[in-house]
Amino acid sequence: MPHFINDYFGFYGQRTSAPGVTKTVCWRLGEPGAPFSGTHGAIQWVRPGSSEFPAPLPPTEAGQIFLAGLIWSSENSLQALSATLGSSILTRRYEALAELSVNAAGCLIATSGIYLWTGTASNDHAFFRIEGDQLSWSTNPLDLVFSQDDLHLWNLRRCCHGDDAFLYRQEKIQRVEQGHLVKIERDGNGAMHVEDMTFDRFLPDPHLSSGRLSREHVVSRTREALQQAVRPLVCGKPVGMMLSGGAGSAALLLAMKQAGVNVIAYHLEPEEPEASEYRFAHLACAALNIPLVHIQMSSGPDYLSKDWMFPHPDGHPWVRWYEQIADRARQDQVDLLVTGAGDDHAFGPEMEYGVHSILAAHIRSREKQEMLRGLLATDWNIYDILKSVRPGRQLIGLTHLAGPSQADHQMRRADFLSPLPPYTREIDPALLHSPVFTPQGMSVELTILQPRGIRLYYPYYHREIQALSLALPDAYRLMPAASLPPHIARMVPTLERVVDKPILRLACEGTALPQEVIWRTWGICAMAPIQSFCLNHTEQLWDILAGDSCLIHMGMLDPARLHEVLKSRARIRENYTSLIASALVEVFLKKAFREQCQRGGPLWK
Amino acid sequence: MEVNTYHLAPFVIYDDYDEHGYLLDLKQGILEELDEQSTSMLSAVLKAPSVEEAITALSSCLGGEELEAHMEALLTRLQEQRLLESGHKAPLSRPTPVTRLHDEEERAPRPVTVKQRLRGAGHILVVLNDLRKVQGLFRAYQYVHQIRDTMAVLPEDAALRLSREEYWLYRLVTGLFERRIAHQLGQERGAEGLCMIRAFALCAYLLSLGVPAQVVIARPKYGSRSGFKLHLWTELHGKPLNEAPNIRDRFRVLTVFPS
Repeated sequence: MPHFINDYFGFYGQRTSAPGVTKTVCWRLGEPGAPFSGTHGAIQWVRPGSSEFPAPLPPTEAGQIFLAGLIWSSENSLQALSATLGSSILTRRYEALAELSVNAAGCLIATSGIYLWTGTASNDHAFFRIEGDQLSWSTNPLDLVFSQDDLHLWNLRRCCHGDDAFLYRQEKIQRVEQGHLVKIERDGNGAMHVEDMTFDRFLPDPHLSSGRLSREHVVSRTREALQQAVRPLVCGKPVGMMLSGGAGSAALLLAMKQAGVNVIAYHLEPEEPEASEYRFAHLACAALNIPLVHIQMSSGPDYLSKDWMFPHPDGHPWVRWYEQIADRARQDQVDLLVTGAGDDHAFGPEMEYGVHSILAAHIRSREKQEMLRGLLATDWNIYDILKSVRPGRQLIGLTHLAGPSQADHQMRRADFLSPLPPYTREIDPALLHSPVFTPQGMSVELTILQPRGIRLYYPYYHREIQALSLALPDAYRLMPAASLPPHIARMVPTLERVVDKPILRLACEGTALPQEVIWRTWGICAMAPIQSFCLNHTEQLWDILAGDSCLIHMGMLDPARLHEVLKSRARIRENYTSLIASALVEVFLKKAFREQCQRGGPLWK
Repeated sequence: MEVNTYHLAPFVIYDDYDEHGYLLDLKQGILEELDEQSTSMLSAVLKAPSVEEAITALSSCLGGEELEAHMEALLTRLQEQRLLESGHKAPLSRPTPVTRLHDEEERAPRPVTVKQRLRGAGHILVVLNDLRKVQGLFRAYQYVHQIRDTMAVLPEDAALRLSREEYWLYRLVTGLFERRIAHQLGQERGAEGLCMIRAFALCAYLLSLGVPAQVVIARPKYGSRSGFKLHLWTELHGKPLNEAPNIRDRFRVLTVFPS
């Protein structure tokens, strides 16, 4: 039976033009062996922890394979898996490569060159660097850093504002795009050539791409796709679900229950009642008879740690909370966590919605009429509704469903940083679509989850769900509540007047999942526990941000401004995201980045 | 100091959340923000029986010889702004009781007629026009009270149903004018704060139908990315009608009316 192979946690390698065979070793992540002698070598990092040492991938005729991520395999042996992958790459028949490593990155060291690839939905990414005659590659971009010159300073500034920007200069540290295979080979003169190929991409569901759609048909396909997405988890081993209590994570929990997955739900609850979703998580688990582990979110001094070894600055305020879940999962012998992230992109609105979206959709006329009528009972302005007949005029904005706003054009407020001249805001790719490479996601995986032997699976990035998503008309990604079936529309005003992810929610209708969980469209005050930390630990923030501060040395942070911000509760609230993001950037610069720069390049020379 | 007792002027609301005082004067339509020190001083004055006792209470944390001078300057300024009054506070008049149908529990819900809608649209236009004028906030405030004082209240279920079913008419009428009014009130194009206009319009329309809606004025608890200092919405029996159901979690309510 097909299953996830979950033993391979990363790889690293380096070669020069000097003759010689590339030595390979297989080490537990975080437990490196003695440095090699010579300049060629490659490491397969495997699962850390006390369990049995995972078997290394055997060499094949094609060469030596290295992997990182979740490998979806029906092969009975690692030998066969390696052979299939190697053959797929060398013969350029990529179906097997696409299927097996959709959630993984890999490397093949062959006589014809080095091949690096990243799966279309992979959380692990292959990076490489060519410097003189030295080629190095890794799943951790920090391994490839030589000095401060590798930093992209504008992106460093963006990271301080909490943007999900890649910090390193991409002309130096290159990333293999998702769904791409890169071949690096030397010619007779020793010059390196890079060939970049697309080996996989998600395609729209052909069942939904032709003819008129009906809501019922799309809902039915959604249920099927959800089942496909959780099928790899049916292995008897316990799987941890990171359950927020929102419709996206609850829908996955339901699908897992229906598929017979041995699932434990983990829920983080803050102290602040207005930021708590526990009630909804509890309702979902009680209805589905799934064990729920309640974890109290920490907003104390441990919320920020100077010891975190980030491969990249992480501006995400959830680092500590991921750590709490990971610690609990390890205690429960759970090595695979499932997240509901990606539901918004798969089933929610993209950047387009308006009358034109409804008129242009290949859906039934009756549904269109209901939607158009329903638009009048929303908070959108009548002139905007009429103008949205034209394809370029959207009713929704980047940061708010209510419409385009000034916030769409500005980074988060950071009054303690040096003022900026006028700039154009760059949009994080993750805000626009997924699956996509997110530096913050990579950072959490490499810093928190993988060192604990835990991997993260995103069912909403599954091929079937992505295929459905690609075929989903904009008119089905957002619906006026008044256009939904009457028993749902009657929930207004408890239900908001515009409902996002309506198809996903409708797919949960008629199941054990409570209506209160399915149709909760509103979010909680997620900022409350983060602001609590900032308000109650100003000295800690000052210590990290102003004590021997790299950001001050770089001229990016102004200590006088920081002092002004930290002495006012109102200004701390206005700047809380960038305070945390900047503190995490500072932790990165002071700890992991400094150590890497001191080492200065390849793992061995 | 000669006068040693102070209270807020009529229609002035004071809130000292986060040591950042807000003085909202509904009559003058102004919001005065206070810095940390002024907030501490005003809070102490409003709580203590006299200014002297407030100064005594504050001297341990604010200290300094200048405290008394600062206090006097603050109180003088707020009096000049007509936000604060000296002396003892006059007792408040009791609100006018709301007219209720004798048989409201038994009254069967009836569909809204065209006439009722036209009358309701008229109320929306009046309240929107009021908002444009000098002391617009107070005029609109008084207008919704007037409607409320003469309305016949519907039972809760019927009121909820009407608030859902009649939303489109309020949106249609209000949507035609809301931006123009916002610009007339000095708001920037493309970044209009429409919540006040919408809250009053929805409240006026629903009141005219017998739905006992109320306007809520609140301040953000967690900061505001848009920079707006206040937010308004409409509620029915504590349920927000044009906002997320948990909106009160994000905002600190300053006042709810008509009560």
